[in-house]
Amino acid sequence: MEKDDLLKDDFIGRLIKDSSPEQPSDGFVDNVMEKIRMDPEMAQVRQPYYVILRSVIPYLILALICALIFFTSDLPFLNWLPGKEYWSNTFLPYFEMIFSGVKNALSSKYVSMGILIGFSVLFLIFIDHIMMKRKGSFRHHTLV
Amino acid sequence: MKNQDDIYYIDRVLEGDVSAYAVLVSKHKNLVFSIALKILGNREDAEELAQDCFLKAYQSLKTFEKKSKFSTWLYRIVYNAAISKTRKKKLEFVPMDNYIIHNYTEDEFTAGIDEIDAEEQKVMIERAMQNLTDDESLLITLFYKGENSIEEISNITGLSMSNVKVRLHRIRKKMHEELSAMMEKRLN
Repeated sequence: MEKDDLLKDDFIGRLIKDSSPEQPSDGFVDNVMEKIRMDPEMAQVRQPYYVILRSVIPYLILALICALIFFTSDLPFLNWLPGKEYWSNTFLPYFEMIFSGVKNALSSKYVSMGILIGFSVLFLIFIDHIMMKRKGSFRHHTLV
Repeated sequence: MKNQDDIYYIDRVLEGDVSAYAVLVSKHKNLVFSIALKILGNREDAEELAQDCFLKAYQSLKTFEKKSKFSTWLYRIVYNAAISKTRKKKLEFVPMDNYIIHNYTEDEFTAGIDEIDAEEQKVMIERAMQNLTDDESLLITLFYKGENSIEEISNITGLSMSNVKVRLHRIRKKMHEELSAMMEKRLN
């Protein structure tokens, strides 16, 4: 539409179109095809990680697993809503057990040192991952 | 229609017929070369860059999503590569009052230039185009010779659509003045 407006009675445009375009050398096409023959690898399309979320399959699998559990277990699904009693008598003691276990483990200096080293390594891997990602995006910035 | 042709050849290339790419290269080589030349200002560099861009486009062909025209996608690769090579700043927005636009009558101009033979018209238009800046020349090439829409030029260059429109309008008037001056000189 905008182009039509600009081209309306566009005498200059007609003259420019008729003028001879700049042309590369005669062997241009052959040179390009030769370069392609030397390096014919096409870049593979990288699928973004979130594309899998758009697929129906993971949701179907999830639904199947839920259905399987629902129909094969004898858990009381229909009266599942937990009351206050359930939290205080069943759930909290479990947490208490887990926390006391962790507390015991951390009280050992060897375990603490191991965890510290583990976290440091993970942190360095994470930083390296971010830096490599940025470097990669600079390399391909000219591509659409 | 033109883009449909491109899509046909792209599909053939993706199916493994590499020689089909030669058709695309042959069809777009002049415009690709022109864009590179207008930004780099040197024929040898422009030709090398144009070839590299065709190779890059071939290697990335699977990433072309066919949402835009193949030519727009290709020209954007060339534009970005040429800008990167020169480390030149991208086209900038220029406010409207940077140019003084003189009045002219289209009819007078058209009648005058019609009297000049085609060969001389070509020489005049080429001389007028040489007086444009590289950026102006690039925009006019994309619009008239590449037959790209305002939106497509905006996608290629990163300028806003209104900016492209204003600039094209200004360039046309500038060329009109150049040609009018040439005709006046010729008549005197």
